[in-house]
Amino acid sequence: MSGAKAASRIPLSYVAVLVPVMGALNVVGGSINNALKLPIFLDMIGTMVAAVALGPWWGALTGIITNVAGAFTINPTMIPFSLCNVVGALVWGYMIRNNGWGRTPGRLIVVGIVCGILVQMMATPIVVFVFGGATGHSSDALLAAFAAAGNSLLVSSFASGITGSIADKMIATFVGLAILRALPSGLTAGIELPKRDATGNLVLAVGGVLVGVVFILITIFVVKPALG
Amino acid sequence: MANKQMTVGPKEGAVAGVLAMGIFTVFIPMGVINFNPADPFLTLWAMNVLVGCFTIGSGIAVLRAKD
Repeated sequence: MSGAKAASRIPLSYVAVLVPVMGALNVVGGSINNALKLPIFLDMIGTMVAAVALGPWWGALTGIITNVAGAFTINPTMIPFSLCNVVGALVWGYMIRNNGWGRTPGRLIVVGIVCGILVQMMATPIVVFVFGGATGHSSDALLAAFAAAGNSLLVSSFASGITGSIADKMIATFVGLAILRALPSGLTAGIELPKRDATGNLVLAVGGVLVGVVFILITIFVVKPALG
Repeated sequence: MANKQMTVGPKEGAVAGVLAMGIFTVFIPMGVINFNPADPFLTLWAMNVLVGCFTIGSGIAVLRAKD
C-alpha cells in the first residue's frame, strides 16, 4: 500500500474556509433529508470533503460542528450522532487521504461500504441505549418490523439501518469526490483520487448516487417485504 | 517584505480532534435534557464514555503525528 503523499502542511486559510463551509453543507443536506423524510441522512458529504482535503481529525471537527449546529436548527437528537460523523471522518481521512484508498472508483465503493458499516456500528448503541430504538428517522418502521420478526433490539437496529447507512456513505463518498475534484488542485495535491480525465465529475457523482439508490431500493423492495 | 503564509500540519489536525471532543462535551448535557428527561444521568454517562474513547484516540493521534 502506498504511503501518504498528501502535503504534510496546509495553509491555515484553507482550514478556516473549508471547515465552516463543509459544516454548513452538511446542515443543508441534513435539513433537506429531514424535510423529505428519506431513508438516508445526507449530512456527511462535507465531512468527507474536509476529512480528505484537510485530514481525518479536521473532518471530525467538521462533523461535530455539523451535529451541534443541526441540534439547534433541525433536531436536538442530532447531538449524540456527532460521534457517527467522527467515525465517518476518520474512515475517509485515514483510508483515502493517508492510505491511498481513493485511487479508483472500485476502491471508493469499498471505502463507502466500510464507512457505512462502521458508522452503523457506532449508531446502533446510540439508537438503542440513548433513544430506546426510536429516533423519529424513517428507518424506525423497518426497525419495528425486524423487532416484530423476533430479533433483539440491537440486531434490529443494526439491520434496519445498515443498507441506508451504506447508501448514504456511498452517496457522500462520490458526491464528495466530485466536490474535491472541483476544488483548486493545490488543495488535493498528493491525494490519490481517480484521474480527472478518466470520468467527468458529474458522471462520478451520479454514479455514486445511483449505487446508493440501489441500496435504498433493496431496503424498500427486498428487505422490508421479506419481513412481512 | 515577503508575505509568510500560516500553515497547519498533522499535529494541529489531531488537536482539532481534541477541540471537537471538547465542543461535543460542552453541548451534550444540553442535548440530553431535551431527548431523555426520564433518565438523563445514564445517557450522559454513556455519551461521556464514548467521547472519552474518542478523546483518547485523538490524544494518541497527537502523539503519533509528525510534522
